[in-house]
Amino acid sequence: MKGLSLFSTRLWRYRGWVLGVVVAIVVVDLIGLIPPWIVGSAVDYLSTGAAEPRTLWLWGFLILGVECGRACMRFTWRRIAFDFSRRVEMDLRNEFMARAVRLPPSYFDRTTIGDLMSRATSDIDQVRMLFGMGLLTLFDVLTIVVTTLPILIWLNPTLTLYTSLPLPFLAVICWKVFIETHRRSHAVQEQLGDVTARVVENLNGIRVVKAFATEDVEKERFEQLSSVQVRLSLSLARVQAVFFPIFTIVFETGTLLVLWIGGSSVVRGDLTVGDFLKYVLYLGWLTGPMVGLGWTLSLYQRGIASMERLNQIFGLPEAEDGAAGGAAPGAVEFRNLTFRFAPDREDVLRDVSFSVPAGASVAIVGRTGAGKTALLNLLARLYQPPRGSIFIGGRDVRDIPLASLRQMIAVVPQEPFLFSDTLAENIALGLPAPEPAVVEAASRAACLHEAVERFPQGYEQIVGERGVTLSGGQKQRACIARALAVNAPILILDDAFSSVDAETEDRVVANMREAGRGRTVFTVSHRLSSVMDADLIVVLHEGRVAAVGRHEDLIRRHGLYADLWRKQQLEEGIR
Amino acid sequence: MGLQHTAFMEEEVRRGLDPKLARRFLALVWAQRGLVTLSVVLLFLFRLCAVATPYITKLAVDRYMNRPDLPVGDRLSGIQWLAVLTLAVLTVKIFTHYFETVVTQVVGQRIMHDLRLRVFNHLQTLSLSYFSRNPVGRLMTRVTSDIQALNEMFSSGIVALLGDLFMLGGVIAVMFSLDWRLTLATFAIVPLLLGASQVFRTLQRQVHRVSRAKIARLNAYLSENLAGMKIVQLFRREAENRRRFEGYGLDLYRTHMKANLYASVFFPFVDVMRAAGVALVVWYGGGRVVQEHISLGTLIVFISYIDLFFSPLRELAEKYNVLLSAMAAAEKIFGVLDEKAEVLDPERPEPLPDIRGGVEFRSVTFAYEPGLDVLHDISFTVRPGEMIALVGATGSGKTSIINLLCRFWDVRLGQVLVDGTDVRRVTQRDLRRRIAIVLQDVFLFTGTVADNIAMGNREKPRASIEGAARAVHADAFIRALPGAYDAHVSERGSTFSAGQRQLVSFARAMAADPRIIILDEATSNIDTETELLIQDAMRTLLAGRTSIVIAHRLSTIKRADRILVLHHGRLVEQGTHAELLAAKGMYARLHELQFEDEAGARGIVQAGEPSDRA
Repeated sequence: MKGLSLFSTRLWRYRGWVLGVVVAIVVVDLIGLIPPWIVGSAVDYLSTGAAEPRTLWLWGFLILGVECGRACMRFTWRRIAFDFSRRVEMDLRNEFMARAVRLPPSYFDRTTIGDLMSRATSDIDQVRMLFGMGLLTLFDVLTIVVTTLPILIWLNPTLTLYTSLPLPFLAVICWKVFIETHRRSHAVQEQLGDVTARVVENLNGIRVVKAFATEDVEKERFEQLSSVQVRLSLSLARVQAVFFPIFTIVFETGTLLVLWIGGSSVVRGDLTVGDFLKYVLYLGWLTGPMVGLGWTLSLYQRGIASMERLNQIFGLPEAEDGAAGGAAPGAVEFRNLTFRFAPDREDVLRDVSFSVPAGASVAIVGRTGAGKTALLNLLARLYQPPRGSIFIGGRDVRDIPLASLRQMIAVVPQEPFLFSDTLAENIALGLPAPEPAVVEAASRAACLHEAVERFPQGYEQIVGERGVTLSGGQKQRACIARALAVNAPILILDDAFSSVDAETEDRVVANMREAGRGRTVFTVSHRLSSVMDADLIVVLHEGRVAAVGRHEDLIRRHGLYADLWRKQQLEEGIR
Repeated sequence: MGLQHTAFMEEEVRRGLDPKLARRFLALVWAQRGLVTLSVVLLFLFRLCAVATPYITKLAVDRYMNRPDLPVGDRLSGIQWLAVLTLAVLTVKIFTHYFETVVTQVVGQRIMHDLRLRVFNHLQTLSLSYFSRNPVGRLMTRVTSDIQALNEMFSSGIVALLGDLFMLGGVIAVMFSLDWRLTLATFAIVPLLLGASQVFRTLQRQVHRVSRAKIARLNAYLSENLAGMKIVQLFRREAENRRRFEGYGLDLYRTHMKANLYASVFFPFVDVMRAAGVALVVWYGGGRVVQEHISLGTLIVFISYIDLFFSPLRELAEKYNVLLSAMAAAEKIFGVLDEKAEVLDPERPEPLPDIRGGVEFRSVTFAYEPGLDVLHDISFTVRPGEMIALVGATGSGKTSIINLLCRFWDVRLGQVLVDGTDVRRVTQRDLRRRIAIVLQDVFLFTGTVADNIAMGNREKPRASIEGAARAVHADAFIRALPGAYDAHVSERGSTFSAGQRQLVSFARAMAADPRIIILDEATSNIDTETELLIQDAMRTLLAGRTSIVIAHRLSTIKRADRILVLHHGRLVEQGTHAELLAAKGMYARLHELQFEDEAGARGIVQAGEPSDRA
């Protein structure tokens, strides 16, 4: 079983803790064997009829004393076991985050946040339970079986033979139930992920839902998902509900046998009443944890299912890093770059070749879906370009460590994304520490400073859902400021001014030009007029380079660019 | 923008068990009363069996085992008879236990389903103002985790434990009938036990509240990072964000350790108390056996009953957290259900027949927040079929006008009329069915492309979906997708380019075939080529329909029948392009500003950036 080996590997990692748990529980259980013996002996003492009432307090005191010792051990045991399980939880969570930040961004295109979150919460919770209560009960049961069974045999071998007869059947039934629980709990978890994703989507799109008055359709879709959730949960519940009755059958049948055979032995004088009582108590002592075992088995099943789901994440390939060693910025070259997002998709870029001298400004233009964003995402290695297709300073980007590469490149993405943190923290995202001077300078360059000054808390203003809500243009300018703050030698502006008015755009561009001499700038824009001054204009068409050159050259060539330009002129022209 | 980083600030829930809350919850349970009764009966039978087994043992000891004075044959047959009785009890126990568990789960799942739908459906009725105040992450939690927390209550067996408490009454009664002195002696420990439970519960509640808040903070941070992973990586924040995340995690771990410390003291203490009970029975009860006040069997049954007595108390304390979480969750869920929509349908809505598409704003004044009017005394009329361009800087009120026309918000003063009918006198549904909006941020739902165009209208024939797509020139790119119209759209359409998303949203508006069309800055992300196609499509789309366009492009503005110029929430000018230029007012200035220094290369007739105020 794959899940089992996952579990044991992890267990081995915590062997110190596990040893602590085992030792503590064995000691607790061993001490626990004493009280039934005392009680049984006391009863025998009483049934002789020669008991001395004044010595009875001794028996009571003995029971209490033993139990106090046991309580001290129990305290230790609980602390070790449960702190341990929380520890496992924390480690798993950290591992999850550690993995998440190393995943290639393309992974997030294929999955939903809701699904990832349900793994990071519900699944980790399940695994924690497995390492906490699950592990505890397991060792508890083992210890009790190993210690109690010999005592039972010693008290009455025949009786023990009969009472332990059902045990193998128990094992078989458990195995069946086991597998079924596993399967069904997996389905429940998956479904929960779907439900979450559906709700998130509905809430994010609530404006559209309202605008098109499609609430009823949404309700209907949700009801279907919820009904499936109910059905799956109940099918799981039906199997889980079998556990306890099974244990009842096995162990209460034992009690029945004890009563019948043991009782008869007492009548025939083969067994004392006290020993009979000991037997009943020890059998009960065995029953309790065994019932707990039923629960543990289901915990185990769910835990393993969750472990597998987590492992799907832990097992994802990391974004491939380049070889160690620094890299120097310099000319950027694309060499026969062909790329597709997935093997079953069409090429988005085909045989793209052009080179850009260091410090040049490059404009990438083309229609929607021409591959502009893909090209720039490949440069920043948000997606993995084929080897030998993109070079910076003569070095294949795949050979440059991601950290150095991204230190060289600052990106303003097409869709602005800010964290719910202070504005200062957001702008200083790429800096080791938020230095107010740098933040403000970047913010000024991005023409955001004036707006910030109007915020009640200035740069310390929390942005996002609980803070001020920025307008689309403000968000974009904050993203520009964030990119400018790192002062990288390569700057990528992917349609970075779509929500910024033309005048502000010009001011920002002028500021950038002034501050960043020698910086290589890649700009994607739909407003040709804003890129006509670029040192190099690359025209993409259906993933291919249609033309490369300066504005004037391209106009002269009467190609796609000239056509676009003419149309834009026509369309925007006055009179 | 990220998710719910600040959700941890959420006011944490009040005290433990709130009677009002319990009553509302019971109302939900009441809806399932048939099944609940069944499960209570099953539970009762099951518990009865649990109490009966030790009593049978007592009978065996007292009547047969410990009676050397009776003939051996009678004693053996008596024991056999009791064994048969035990078998019967056992059978009942097994079946009642199984069905009790299943029935309880059915009840739980039904209540969850019911509640889940109610919350979700209620959310659909709330106004946009509510969503602008409440982060998605928090609302999502209501429908998922909070419901799940309630579900835990049913699946963890707490309900059965509450049943156990009732069973205790039965146990106590049996004990009293056997020997009241010994019963009282045994109960000497109860006050101590209850006191300890009280202290423990108080501590547990406090620590639980803190840990809930910390969990919320942690999860909010994680989900935000997952959503913005590209940015995290581009700005090399991997290590720093991990460090912060681990910091939140460690903080939570410490709180958990504290909670565990309390539990680690409490539960062993309960065990000691239990031992003290057994010790009392042996000491005091033993004395009474010797003095022949009680039988040996009674002593034995007392020892067994102590366990029956303690284990529910133990488990209840152990699962008290589950109960607390459930109550906290219930309170939050009910909080959402209590939320009143701010924009309400009238009690007796007027039917909105096939409208012609006339729109009138009559002295409209409007504010998102009290005291901050964003529109002042706006009046204008749009004739059916007319095309209006809204022009003005950020915050000038363009988006607000649209919000009012769709009745996402209600006016503070004045009236918005469609075909002479106040929008507040018809249902929101009727109104919006006749208006289509192309929003600035195109939102695509998971499903097929066709679903996204039809917007859930399953009756819409495929031909009309494709027709709509063709009209806005979206057909070509859709056909190029694997699966064409049945191509799967992933979360938020992330595999589509901005332009493609825009095209789909145009097709969506086209398919809705409304009388009134609203275009809100739908042009900003589309390249010139596609833009020209769309300009062409717009002509088709707008033909014969009333349209209100927040326009960027001069060509659009010029095509409008009338231009409304807004400035700081006031309507300062209106007229055709030529008229407004001739008037040499604000529009003329805006126009000049754009086109003189740009030599005609620009299409933006706007000062300041567009607002994205929802």
